[in-house]
Amino acid sequence: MNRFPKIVAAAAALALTGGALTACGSSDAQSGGAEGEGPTRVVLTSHAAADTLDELDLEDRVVGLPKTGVFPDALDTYASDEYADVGSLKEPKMDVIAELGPDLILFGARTEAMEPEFAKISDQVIAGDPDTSDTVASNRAKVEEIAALFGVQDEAAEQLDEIDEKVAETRAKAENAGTALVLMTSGGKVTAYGPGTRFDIIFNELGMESAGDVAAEGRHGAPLSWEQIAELDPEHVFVIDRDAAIGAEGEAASALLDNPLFNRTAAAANDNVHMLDGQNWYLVGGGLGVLDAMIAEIDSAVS
Amino acid sequence: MTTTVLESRPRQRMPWPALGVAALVVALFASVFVGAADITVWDVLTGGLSEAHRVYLVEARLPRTAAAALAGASLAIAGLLMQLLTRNRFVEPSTAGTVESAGLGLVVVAILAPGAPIVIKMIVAMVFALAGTALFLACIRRVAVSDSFIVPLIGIMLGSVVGAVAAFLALSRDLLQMLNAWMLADFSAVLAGRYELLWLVAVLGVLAYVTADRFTVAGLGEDVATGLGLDHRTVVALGMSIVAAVAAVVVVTVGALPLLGLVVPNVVSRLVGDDARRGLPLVALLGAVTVLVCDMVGRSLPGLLAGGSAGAGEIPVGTLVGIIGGAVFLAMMLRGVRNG
Repeated sequence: MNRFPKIVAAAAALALTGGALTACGSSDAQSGGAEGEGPTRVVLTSHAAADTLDELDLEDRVVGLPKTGVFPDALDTYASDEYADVGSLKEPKMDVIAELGPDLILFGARTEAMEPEFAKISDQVIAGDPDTSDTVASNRAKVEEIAALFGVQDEAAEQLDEIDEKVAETRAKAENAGTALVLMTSGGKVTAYGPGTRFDIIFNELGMESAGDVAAEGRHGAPLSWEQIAELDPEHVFVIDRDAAIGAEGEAASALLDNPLFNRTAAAANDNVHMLDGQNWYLVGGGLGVLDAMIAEIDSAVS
Repeated sequence: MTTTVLESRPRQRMPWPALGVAALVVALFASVFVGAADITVWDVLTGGLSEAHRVYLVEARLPRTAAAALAGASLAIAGLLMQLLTRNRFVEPSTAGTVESAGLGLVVVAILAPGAPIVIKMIVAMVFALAGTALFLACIRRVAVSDSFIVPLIGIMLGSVVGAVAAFLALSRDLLQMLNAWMLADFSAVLAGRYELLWLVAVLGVLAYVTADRFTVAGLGEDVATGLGLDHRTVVALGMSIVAAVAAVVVVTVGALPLLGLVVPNVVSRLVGDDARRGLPLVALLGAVTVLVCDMVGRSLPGLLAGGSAGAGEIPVGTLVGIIGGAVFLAMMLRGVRNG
């Protein structure tokens, strides 16, 4: 009985030294141990929650997560067959999940509607993705909620405070960096995202100024013509290549953007077109380690 | 019946071809000068065009205008051909499974040969479109329908089945968003160097015009046509090949324009009757004008509603054409029911 707190303390200490320095300390995977408190058979349909559990050295509590389709590099801790494939991010296989007998299901935004189904399989069912209207704040809330289940709040708090510090640092630079537009390319077409969209974090929390009143409705962004983009003339363009992120066929974003109209924007002229990590931004979108990496991407763009 | 004849006489004296050409010229002109940036005719004439505006004109607006006119004209012609060959006013590529079949072909290429050049995609889409149309023709022949509403309903059902197969395949490979893009025309991505294959449909349009008389005769029915010495099967095969090729090229380059091929030929046939050689140029003109106008509305309406903001986005032209097409289709159906 007395051994457990020591193990937790040791795990926390390890993560503080290892995890604090590197954003993705997954090599010390064995230290968490399935012996600590909290759920021991976790099924995920949220990549952000998978990342958070990995960062908190709780990956061995995971028994299954979505691996069908593109599996993000950030989650390669879970690559081995020990972690069952429960289908795709959008379409989990309920029978496989039920067979795993989970005592906790952390579901993603793409499977929100299936919450009642999950509730039939597991006693504990919790949303795992942050809310894109306040990504940083709701990511903190999510991580704290998950950490509390396993009694690792202190370790989580440490990393969360670090993220907040980085947000403040990036924000200070971003506020003076000029206007920005987020573009997603897919199937040879381009759509734009501004404040109030799923990539609101760039504007609202990291402080970039929007290049214009980009229509906010729709998960797939506002369809802008190249002329409209040229007229908005953003100083920074953040690009998410959706086809590359999901491993689908499609023209590379760089080839699509290389046209006489886009090349007239200040962003293109000043080499301020930043390719974001599509997997992190489109498929994961949060989590203790991935959010940190996302903020670092914006930080290096405005530095 | 008598009133129809009396009514149609003065109408036929209207100089429709001249009016059509005039409307096209105005629409082309307007399309070039409508956009996010304020480019004026005066600037162009006096040479006071800024470099940015010159780029917009040459690289975006002229290609976009050409794309809208070509897609509109060719799909309207495809609709006319299908209506003549099936002897049914409600048939067009999107009510005969042709467009959905082309989409299925594109999904199959994307799965089997990702990264295939666009010409390969187009050929596969064309083969699928042709097969889908042939299946539709076989279906309506077997059913031996007397009611003209049943024919498009069979086509729409067939299209739904093919579309469902395409959606299923696309869903399992994360291609659904791409499939949706193909199924709804949107000219916002049209730039110089990215739409030129669409000129192929101009060739097909000319081919249709040259062979127009045969389609008129074929439209009289297989027995009459054969009696007049026409190889009915060959003409049907030629017509359907043109239709499938047009549908495939348009879907691959800009996306489908639902029901355009139904609305335009019906309006024209009310004006000048059912002679393909007379009707075809008018059908092409009206198809081009309709799509040009819808595209102009789609590209300026969100901006106007948002107070002139360039970030307001666009309404895809396919949506607007679909709304108009749906309304006219419904009106025709209701009128048909009343008259029948």
